[in-house]
Amino acid sequence: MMKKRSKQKTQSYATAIQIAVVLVAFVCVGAVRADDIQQQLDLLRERLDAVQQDTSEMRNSLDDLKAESEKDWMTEERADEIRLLVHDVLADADARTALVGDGILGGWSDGFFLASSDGRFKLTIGGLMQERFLMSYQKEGFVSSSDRWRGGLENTRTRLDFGGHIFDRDTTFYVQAGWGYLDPNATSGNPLLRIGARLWDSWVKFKLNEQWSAKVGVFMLPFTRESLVSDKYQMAVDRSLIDYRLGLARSQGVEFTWAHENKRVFLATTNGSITLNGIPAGAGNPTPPWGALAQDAEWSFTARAEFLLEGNWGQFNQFTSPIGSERATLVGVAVHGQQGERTGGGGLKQDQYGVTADLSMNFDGVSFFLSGTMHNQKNVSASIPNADWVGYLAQASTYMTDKTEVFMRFEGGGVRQNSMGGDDVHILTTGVNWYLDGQGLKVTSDVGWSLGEISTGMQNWMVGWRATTEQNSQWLFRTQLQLAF
Amino acid sequence: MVCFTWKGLRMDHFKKQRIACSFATRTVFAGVAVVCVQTSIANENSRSIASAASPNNIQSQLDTLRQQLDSAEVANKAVRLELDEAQANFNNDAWLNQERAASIALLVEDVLADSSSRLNMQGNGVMMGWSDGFHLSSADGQFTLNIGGLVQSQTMARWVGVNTVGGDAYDQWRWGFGMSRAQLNFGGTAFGSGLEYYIEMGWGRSDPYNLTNQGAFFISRMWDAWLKFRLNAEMEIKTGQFMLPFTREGLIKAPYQMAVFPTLIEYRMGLERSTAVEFDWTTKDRRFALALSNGSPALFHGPVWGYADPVPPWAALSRDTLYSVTMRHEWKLLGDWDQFSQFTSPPGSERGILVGLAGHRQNTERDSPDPVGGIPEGAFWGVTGDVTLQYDGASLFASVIYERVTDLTSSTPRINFYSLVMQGSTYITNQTELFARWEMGGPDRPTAGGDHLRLMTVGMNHYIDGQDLKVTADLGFSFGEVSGFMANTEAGWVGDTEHRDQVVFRTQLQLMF
Repeated sequence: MMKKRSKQKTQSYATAIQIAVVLVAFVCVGAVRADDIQQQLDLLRERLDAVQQDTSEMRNSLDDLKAESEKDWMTEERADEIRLLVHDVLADADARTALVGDGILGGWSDGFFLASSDGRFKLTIGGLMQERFLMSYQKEGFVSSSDRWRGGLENTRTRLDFGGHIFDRDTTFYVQAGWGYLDPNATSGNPLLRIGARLWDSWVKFKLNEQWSAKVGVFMLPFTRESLVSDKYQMAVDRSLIDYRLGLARSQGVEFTWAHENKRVFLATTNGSITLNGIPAGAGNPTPPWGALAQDAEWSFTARAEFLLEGNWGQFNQFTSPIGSERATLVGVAVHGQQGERTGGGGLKQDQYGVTADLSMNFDGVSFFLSGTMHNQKNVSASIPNADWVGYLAQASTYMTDKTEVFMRFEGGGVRQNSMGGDDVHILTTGVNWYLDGQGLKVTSDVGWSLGEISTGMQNWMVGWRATTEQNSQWLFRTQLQLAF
Repeated sequence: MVCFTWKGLRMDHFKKQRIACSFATRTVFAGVAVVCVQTSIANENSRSIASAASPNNIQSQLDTLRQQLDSAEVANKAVRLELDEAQANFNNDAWLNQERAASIALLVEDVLADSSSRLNMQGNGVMMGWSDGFHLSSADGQFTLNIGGLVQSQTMARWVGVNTVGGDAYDQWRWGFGMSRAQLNFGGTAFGSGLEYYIEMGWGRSDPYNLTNQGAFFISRMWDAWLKFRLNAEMEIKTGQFMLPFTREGLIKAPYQMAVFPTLIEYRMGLERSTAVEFDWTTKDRRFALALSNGSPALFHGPVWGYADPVPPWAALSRDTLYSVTMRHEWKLLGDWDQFSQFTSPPGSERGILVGLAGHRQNTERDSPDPVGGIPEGAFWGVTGDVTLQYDGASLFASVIYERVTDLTSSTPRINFYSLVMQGSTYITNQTELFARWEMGGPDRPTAGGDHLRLMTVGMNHYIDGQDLKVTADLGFSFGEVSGFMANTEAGWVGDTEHRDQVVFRTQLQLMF
């Protein structure tokens, strides 16, 4: 019984142990399960933290980026980079010439211009408008039907100037075209008062080296200084009557220029000068260009030397010496010779030789100019074997204010042979220049008295002087508004 | 808790077994207790969740965390997208917004100016291009140059219905192509906006007014060339060559006419161009012009004076007039001045009414100190009045002219001229306009033609691009006579003094820039 009870007790204990073991297993399983959930939760939290941190960092970056965008983005550094880029683009566009127009510049630089970005090509556009009022009185005209009073308004010169350089700065060109007197030198016997389309200068110039250049085309012959000063830079309303006859005016040909420091020389061979009626072809068309095979001069040669004693060359592009200018002195001498082409039928060649000299002195607001010219013509016509022309001119000016200048000019001369008119021209002109904006915009008024005679060979209605045989019998009032750009 | 009790170690086998089982049981229970305590300590939180919370609560917490994570990830993705976009904007093409483009444009201008100056061009920068016309200008606007052009090309046909000539000389039909103008205009300002200049040059008829027998020739011509100074807001002075301020038809420039050409009345009785000084005074509602000129070559004064060229410019000292005065006054009752620079009134225009009155007087310059042939100095005077009405797409115009010439030549001591012009137009579409014009008048002296001019012209304008590119076609009927005095080669009307039912058909293509 005891044994049986003991055995039962032992079985009870074993059962209890088994239960305990099962309990322990349950407890352990429960503990393991709790750890697994915690681990999952921790993992989720970690991921959440990571995502939030990443978001926060990106938001900071975004804020920085926005701030960067909104602040002054064009830093000096970027500007330099863009400059470089633009330069590269321009250079590239220029290199690839197919990109026409991409490298073009234009605007105003002391005149309107268009230019390539590399400076190889440049076109300047200028203009000149001279609006003039003239009133002429003569006591008695050359013929009895002449009107005593004659006056009116006119557009004396309306022209556009196209100049510049092509390929490089050593090849320059210049074209002056517009409306003006078709016979500015009054070479026809009767006044030719037509104002029409005409060409003034038209040439191409090549710089051969630092001292030599060659010009080809239509240009003013290098003889008198008065002719060489442009229409828009004259002192009075127009050039002197003497210069329109004894100056050589324009022709077409080749001119070589040598310039070295204070000396320069012009050498021109051309179709000849028309002013003394030396070119038969000019009778029908008094201004060049003329046809190459037209009857003009067999040969013609003009040379002028200039010596700059003081100042600079640029001062002598004009007659005036504005207040503030430095002192300058220029001496010039020139010669001309031409031989006419045969007219056929035994006609004699008309020869012509001339010489001129001039002195120009500029001071601070004051200027002086003196010149003398002589020409000798042979075989003017069958009945006139010889003609001698003499002309002289003295001119002075002084500024009264910074913009206002008074001037006086005396001119005399003409042809000495009575068969040619036997002129005894003596004209005194005095006037005022009002430089509203330099030579670009100015008003000039002058009054001239003819103290001598003016023959039909010397008269020039563009300048305002009509032929009269009576001495001391004509006066002329002129006023001109000039726009030059 | 289960408790084991041990009673004596030296007992029998069962007893020992019992003791051992009891001990083992107690040991196991003690171990279980220890394990439970340790587990409890080690996993206090988890146990609290696992033991205290139900499975639903745990799932709920997990779901909450997952939702938070999902939201965070969505926000993260959105911020990343925004960041990527911002970085792309900052670094890529889209960075060039309008403001930056303007900054770069300024910079490029700097570069070009710098380049320009270093190339010794001394320019102020790029100041050229197109602005209602090609232009060049200085950077400060002091100097401007505008370049424009006009080409008018016509196809014309004329039919004369009655053969009063007889034989082969009767040319019933005549037609051909023509070009009345091919011109370039250069205008702008110099030395500030107070000074304007204008030059209009090109190729055109040498004698558009049929004053000579050169009417069919074309030459290089200069129409206008003038300088204008602005004195103040209302006053200007103009000097040079321009249309004299007399008839309104004459003052409207060629590209802005209604028909292909102005009326024959205007060709003969308008004063045309001259060289003059003109004073202009303009207020809000009134405009006055006074011109002192070389005189008008109209009514054949030019040939009488001996002009070699039928059109200016002429020389100052050539024989013309002793004096010549022209004045015109305009009253603007409605509208603005600009709308009256053309005849048409496009749809959308405001209403405009203009009344004009003008007078002219000139005395011919004598050719000698004494009158030639006993003729006193000739005189020419005239008056004109006109009214212009413009509506939204319709226009009306009417004018009358009276002129009187005395002692033009020894054979014409006196001539009177009368005229009437009426014109109306209306748009049928935004670009197409119909018009009709009636003109009549001429000299009263039979020696000067004694005209009974009566012309009716109807036509159409098709404005392809406003006045810049337009096609005009018109058909004219002559109900009266066209004397040699009034005929005009350019306009297409040939002399006809016998009511030959003349018809002229004209079309024109106009290009203007």
